[in-house]
Formats: sequence, C-alpha cells, structure tokens
Amino acid sequence: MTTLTSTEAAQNARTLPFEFRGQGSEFFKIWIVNIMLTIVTLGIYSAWATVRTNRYFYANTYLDNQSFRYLADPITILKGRIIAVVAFILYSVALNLLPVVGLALAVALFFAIPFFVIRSIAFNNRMTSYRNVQFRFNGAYGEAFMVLLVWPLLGMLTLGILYPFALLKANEFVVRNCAYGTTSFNFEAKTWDYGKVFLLFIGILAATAVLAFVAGTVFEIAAVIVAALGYVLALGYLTVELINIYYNATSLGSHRLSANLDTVGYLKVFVSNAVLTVLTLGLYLPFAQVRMSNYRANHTTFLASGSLDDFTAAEQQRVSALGDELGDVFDFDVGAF
Amino acid sequence: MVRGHFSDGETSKLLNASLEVVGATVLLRDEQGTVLYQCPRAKISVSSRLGNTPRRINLDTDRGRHRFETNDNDSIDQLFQVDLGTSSWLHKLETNLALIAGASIFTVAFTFWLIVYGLPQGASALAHSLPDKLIGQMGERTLDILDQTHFEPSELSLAEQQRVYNALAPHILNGNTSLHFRSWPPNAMALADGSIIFTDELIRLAENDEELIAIAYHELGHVEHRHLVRRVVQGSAIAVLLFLLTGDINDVDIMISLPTALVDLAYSREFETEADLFALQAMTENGIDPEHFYNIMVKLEAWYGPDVSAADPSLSIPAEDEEAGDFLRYLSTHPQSAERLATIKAYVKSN
Repeated sequence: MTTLTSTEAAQNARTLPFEFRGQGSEFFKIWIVNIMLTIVTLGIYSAWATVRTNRYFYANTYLDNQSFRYLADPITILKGRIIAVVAFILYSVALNLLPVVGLALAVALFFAIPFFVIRSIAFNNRMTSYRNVQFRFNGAYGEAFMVLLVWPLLGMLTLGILYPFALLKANEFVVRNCAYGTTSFNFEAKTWDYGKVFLLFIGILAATAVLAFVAGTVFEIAAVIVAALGYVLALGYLTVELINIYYNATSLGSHRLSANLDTVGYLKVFVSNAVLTVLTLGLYLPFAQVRMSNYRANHTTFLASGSLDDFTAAEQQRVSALGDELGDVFDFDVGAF
Repeated sequence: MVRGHFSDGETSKLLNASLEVVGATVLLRDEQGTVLYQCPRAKISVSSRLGNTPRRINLDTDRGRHRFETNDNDSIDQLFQVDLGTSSWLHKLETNLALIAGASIFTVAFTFWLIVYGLPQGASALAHSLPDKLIGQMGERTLDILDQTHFEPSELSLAEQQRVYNALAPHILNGNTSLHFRSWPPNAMALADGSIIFTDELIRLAENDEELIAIAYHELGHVEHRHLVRRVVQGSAIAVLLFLLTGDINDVDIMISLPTALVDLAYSREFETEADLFALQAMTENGIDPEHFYNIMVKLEAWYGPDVSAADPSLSIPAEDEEAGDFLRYLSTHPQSAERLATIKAYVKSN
C-alpha cells in the first residue's frame, strides 16, 4: 500500500450510507415457515430458523453495494442450544433441591459470566463476514470482569453517578476488542457524552412525573396516559442517543462510523410497530423487524478514508457455539448495539 | 455463465468475475476472460437460497477461503440443481403462497390452542405428577423472604391466634399445609410449600369463623390445585415459546413482554375462579353455609374499593385507579369482583 498525501486522501474519502434492502413481505414468508417448522419439529428447527433469520438480515445490510454474511452452521447452534438447555435445567434443579450445590454453581456462574460473554461475542463476530473477510473479537477475561461486574456494581453503589462511566467502559471493551480481519476497531468517547444523555433522560422522567401529577388532579386517567407517554419518550431518547454515541465514537483504522438517529423518527417506527404487532396478534412482527432495520441502516453511515479493498483477513480460528448459546440462555447484556 | 464477484479470502478485495461449469470443473474468469481460479465441481458448496439475498459459493472447501458471490439466484439454481439436492426445498416452502397462507392460519390457531388449552393442561398434569416433597422444597424460603420484605409479626394475642388456629385447623391442615399469622392489609395467601397465611386485618374484618374458613378453603384450593407451580410452569413455557417463535429480538421487547403479562394475568384469573369453586364445594360438603364466602368477599371488596376485590397478595391495582376503567380492571389479578361475586351468589342460591 502506498502512502497518500492529505489531498489524495481527501479525494478518496467517501461517505457511504448503510442500506437495508430486506422486504417485509419476503421476510414474512421466511418467518412463518420458520415458525411452522419449529412447531412441527418440536423446537429442533429453531436452530435453522435462527440461522435463516440472521442470514436474511445480514445479507440485506449493504455498505458500498456489498452486503454482510452470517456464516454459522445450524448444527453448531443446535449443539450449543442443547448443551445450554441441559445445563440450565441441571442448574435450576440443583438450585431448588440441593441449595448448597446450587449456591456453589451460582457463584461459579457469576465468575463464568465474563468468559461466556467473550465467547459469545467472539462467536458472533467470527460468524460475520463482509467482502469475504471475517470479524474477530479478542477480549480478555480480566477486562471483561471489570466491565461486566465491577463497574456496574460501582455504578449502583454510587446511586448511578458512576453509571455513565461504567457504560463507557463496557462500550470501549466491546468495540476496542473487535477487529475486521487484522484491522482493529477503536472507540473514543468521553464519560460526559453519556452523562449528558443520562441527565436529560432523568430530566424527562422528572418532568413526566410533575406533568402526570398535575394531569392527575384533573382526570386520574390523564395521569396514566401522561406517565406512559413520558416514559416511552424518555426510553426512546435514551436508546437513540446511546446508539448514536456508540457509532459516532467507533472507528476502523482510518475509517469512521457515524449515526444520526432521532428520537421522534425512532419512536414513530417503534410505536407503530408495537401497535400493529399487537393488533395483528404478532403477525406484523417480521414487518416490524424489517422496518426497524431499515430505519437504523438509513441513519448510519460509514466514512471511508479510502478504498475498502485492502483489509487483510486474519488466520483461521475455531470458536464453538457453546459460549454463544449459554449467553442466550442466561441472557447476558454487554451494552453493545 | 453467471456474473458475480470472486475473492480469495486473503483480503477484502473483490474482483468482477464470471463462473461457468465445464464438465466436472468450475471455472472462474475475470472480465478479460483470463481464468482466475478453477476447482473440481465436487469440491464446491453452494449456500441455500434465501429470499433475494446474494448466493455464496465456497470454492475448494478443503483449503483456502476462495468465494464466488452473485445475486443471480436463478442461474445458480439452474446450474447447480444436482449439487443443491434437497437444500432447495426450504426456498420452495418459503415461496409457496398457499403454504404461507396455511402456515399463517395454522400458527395462529396452534398458538391459540396452546395458550388456552395445551399449556394449562400440560402444566396441570406436570404439577400433579411432581412429588409433594419436591413442591414443598420449592417454596421453602418464600415465607422467610416475605417476612423480611412485606410482613410484620402478627399483633394478635396468642389466645386469639390459638382460637383462630383451632377454628381453621380441622378444615385446612392435612400434613402438607401449615397455618401462619402476620400483620398486613386484609388478605390471605397460599405459598407453594403449603403455607397458608392470614393477616390480622383479615381476621378483624371477618364477622365470624365461618367467613375465615371460607377464605381458608379458597387458599387450600390454590394449594390442592397446585396453582403456584402451574403458574411458574406456564410462565416459563410462554417465555420459551416466544423465544422459539420470534428468535432473538432486541428492539421489540415490549411486544414480547406485554402479551406475556396479559396471558399470565388471564391464567391467574382462571386460578382464582377454580379456587373459589373449590371453597364453595368444600363448604357445602362440610355443612357450612357458602353464603359466608359471599359475605367476606363483599367486605373485602368494600375495604379495597368498589371495583377491585382481593383475597390474595397479588392484588396489584390500588383502589384509586378505578377511573382507569375496564382495561385496568381486566389487568387485576382477580376476576372482576362483580363477576366473581355473581358466580358465588349463583352457587349459594342453587344450593
């Protein structure tokens, strides 16, 4: 690769929008067949269903006219799922019948969480490719332990004051340990970026409480409505701004990511999705998922500093689905979007 | 000849290429016609078709990461019909409109059947087949936890406690159950291990022991029908079911949690009705006028407000929400008090 002068670099810089090309009607057919086969096979097909769903969403997400790939083998997912379900049943039984063993297992699980989270992200990254180059994840146990258990605990102990910092650390951990081939991602955000968002979030909730109280003195039902609207607005704002921070702080080599979701636009999609899904007894769900993916892709861009041809793939590496599926069963949340 | 992109998997570079099959060999050429790559047809694997997403062909599956990708799904299907074998049937299902319509109806009908009949019956059979000892252990610590979080010790005198105990014990203590007194708004509740708890305030509210016996039978109904175990089983089954049906959904949690909560409430209303019926029958069998049950329910209703009645801790809607109307009333754990009282009254009359 030759060195570019700054003028040449500027000429090569491009703003590349993400695009989602999936169709609700097309995904509906895949989704309903997934459900039917999952029922008929008493759940076994769910591994294939997960793979087909992920393949559909990845392959319809385009950047620079090329789309992503989901590579996982359903058999791997199925094995992981069986192990995870058996482990979960054993754990529940032990917790109820042999409290001492159950307690020991609970403590062991507590310390195993960071391990499972790392395995889970590593598997998902490994199973994602773009331009035939796979993503990677190299998080270390110690850092994961701090980010997943210690910082959130300190956040709680300080009544939320350290929570923005804990979230920054979590995002930093995930992004900085991700790589596209041999090129690492970087994450540059400040605690205050999160602090601002949380302050306004709390502000919206406080204003909602006051408004609901005032409205409640007129009609009691009005208080319920005001409180519900304010709550949805606050949560929508928090979600949108955290996604924006996440992408705007992320860079890949000399390339950057950028997101500009807006609360009102996001909530329009979210609320109409929720209403239509409930009204159609769930049948609108695939359309809802496609609409949300579409909205998010339309508000995310990749600022390429040059050609996307020169990323080098990393050595092959085997990662099992076990961590991934245990992660699903015990429902870990890492603060990634 | 199929047009698409070729990549060697070493870098992210993609080359415009075309693929053709010559005899038993797959050939990839660049735009000038120069051969970029070739491998035996037996060594390739073709991804199954999925909507209109690009097709991925692994070249030389034994070594390397060479790939050919194309949007020309139809040509790939034609060219590799033999190699795809049975893997194309999924796409056939996913594009068959009659099947899609049938699957939609089947899914809605099946889900409805499962929620209304399948799950409750399955959970009931499971709950009744579990040994008493196991169920006892499930709720062992619940009372300790409730003591720390909710209850105060009973303020009734020991003599008063003994009197109520003596009145209730013959009716509800059967080896699996135990009776406890605590201080808390008028209420009685049953735990999974068979503990039945009466609050001081409920005992004060009752005019006579028969009214307390009525409530005690209602709680015994929860224990005998194993309602707590069934509720836990049904709740987990719904969660697993929704996970299997919807897969990993991050953005739409509320669409999952709201229906789950509504189904759970519907189940719990059924349990209340079942426990009411148990109480009425037990009272008739033991020669106690079922009208006492009606009377204590009316008193509870008056205490909690006109729209919400409760004889359980699960009472979740405070009385001041009554203006929120039918919807909130639906959300109330107990069947609408009027409806419940009417059922009890009808039973009283028919006996």
